[in-house]
Amino acid sequence: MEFRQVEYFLAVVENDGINGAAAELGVAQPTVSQALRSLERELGVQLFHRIGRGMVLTAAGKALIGPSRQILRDVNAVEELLTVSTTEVTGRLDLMVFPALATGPIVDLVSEFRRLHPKVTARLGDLRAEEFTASVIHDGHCEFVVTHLPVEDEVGLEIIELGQTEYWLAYPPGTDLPPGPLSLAELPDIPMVFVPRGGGSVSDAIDYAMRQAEVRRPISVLTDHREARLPMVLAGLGGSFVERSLAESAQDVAVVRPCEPTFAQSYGLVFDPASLSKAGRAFVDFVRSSEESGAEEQLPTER
Amino acid sequence: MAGTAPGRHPFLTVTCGTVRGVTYDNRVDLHLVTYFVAVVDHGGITKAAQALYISQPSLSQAIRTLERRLDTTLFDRTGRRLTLTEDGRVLEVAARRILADVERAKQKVAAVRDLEAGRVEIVTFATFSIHPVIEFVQRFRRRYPNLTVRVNDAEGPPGVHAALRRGEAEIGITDLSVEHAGMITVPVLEQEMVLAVHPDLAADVPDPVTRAQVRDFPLVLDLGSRASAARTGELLGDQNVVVDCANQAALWQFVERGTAGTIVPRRVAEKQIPGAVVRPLDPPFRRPVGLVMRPGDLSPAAAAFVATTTGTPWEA
Repeated sequence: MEFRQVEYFLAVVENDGINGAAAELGVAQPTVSQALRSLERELGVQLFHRIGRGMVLTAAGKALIGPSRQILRDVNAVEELLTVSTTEVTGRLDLMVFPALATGPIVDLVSEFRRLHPKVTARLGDLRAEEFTASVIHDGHCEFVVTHLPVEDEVGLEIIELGQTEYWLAYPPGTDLPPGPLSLAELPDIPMVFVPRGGGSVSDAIDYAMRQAEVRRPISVLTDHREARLPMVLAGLGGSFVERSLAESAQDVAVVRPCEPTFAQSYGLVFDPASLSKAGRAFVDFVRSSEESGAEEQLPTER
Repeated sequence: MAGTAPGRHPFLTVTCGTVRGVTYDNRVDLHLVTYFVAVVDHGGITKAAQALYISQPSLSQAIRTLERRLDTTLFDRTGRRLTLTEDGRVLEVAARRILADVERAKQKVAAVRDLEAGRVEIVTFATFSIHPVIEFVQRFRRRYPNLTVRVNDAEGPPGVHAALRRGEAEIGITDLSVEHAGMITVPVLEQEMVLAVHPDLAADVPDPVTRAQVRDFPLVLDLGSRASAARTGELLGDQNVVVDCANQAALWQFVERGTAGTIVPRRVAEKQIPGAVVRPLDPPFRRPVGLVMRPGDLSPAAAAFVATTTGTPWEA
């Protein structure tokens, strides 16, 4: 196996086919096809189904993605060691973020970090299920995971707590609500916009509490797109549970209320300290230092 | 039959809708149940027959058939009035539940048919999650306030096709500039894609901005998305994607923090990234957006969604 083959393999995955990969890598298409075929010959298994002109990953191909990313990070780390002449941090920060936690502190941390180290690029992928936290790190899919705490199977992993998510209620402009926190029993008779998955155990807790309280509201929209919740509320399609920071940012345009009881859970940055890239180490140092220097100011923890 | 434990009583199998251990000929028909309840309600064969518009002998015959099939006696015929036996009372409870369930089932189907309940399954991808999806949903909900809209996420146009083919959704909202072989497409609008940047980064960005200039500009994009506008719009340079972000809301925040610019529909830039400066592209970057469906009949709710979205009635 050669690094080049691994690099080409990932390029085909990330660019959705040979054409895109060749363009991205700046090489000829036959070169990429050839490299892929010899990788498959060596591994003794097909990595892609060739369907018409399309390339669809086989199960074996899917299994190769995580380790390949890890290999390229390893190579990158070696190159960094050899070019110690410069102290500049380069490379890529590889994060997978649970959708409900993608806005807020992690964006601030990554954008601040990039301000300090402009040569570093970042990738924020979607973590579909929080129980995969340990496996996506160990399998090399990413260096960092942002997820709710505690983490299942956290042996060998380090965790930096970043804050707490708390859910508030947001209703369309003009909704007549009493001041102060709303209990579930007081929810107005207005349809709701829900995201069926992706809120993690906090949304499960809300779900459970609503069932316990026998609070049922008609559902206007069920959407997989979390980012559409608040815009849908503003468009008058219904009320919704949204993260406190999002609710507070919208209090001039929507009717927002804390929820009684409080639905909150802490979340953090999870990583394997034994296998960090140079950029990854620098990021950990940066997150720790910004935690120490005035946590309230740097990290809008919702407590 | 007498002496059978209530939980194992054959009548109870009727309420479950299955008739275990009973041959087809012995099945309890719905009309027999209806007749039985009518006799109970009217206190006798004569009045019940009048109410049901059938003859008295055929009603008597039906009740005897029911008794034979259940292998029991339902009415005590010794007195002047017809009274229920113990088995008859057990059947009464079960029979009323059956009739209520049948009625509820009919109502539910009718409500869905008449667009008073139910939901319409839409599939699209993140690029369109705000615009035009919200506008389409608004038009639909204004007309059909009791129907739920389910917005499913897919990976770009191929994912939309797959979801439609698998029957997970009936209507796709997608980019019509790509090929949609074997599908029905209905164009609805054109979306203008723009470069959205923080004012601090915008100083040197010409208005409008060429594609070559964008290819040198730091961008935050979802490279994992097969539908990435930057891919289709030839806006990717060698090194210009500084953050690859799968989450739309986080992506907008990166633009607000001044990390990089992004390529978004103008409407999304104006509403979701209010702090950003918008630069149209030169030449303009527009793409047709519309609905895509499998050939064949749509459910009433889906047909209604097409109609409210396009402003014209839907005919397959």
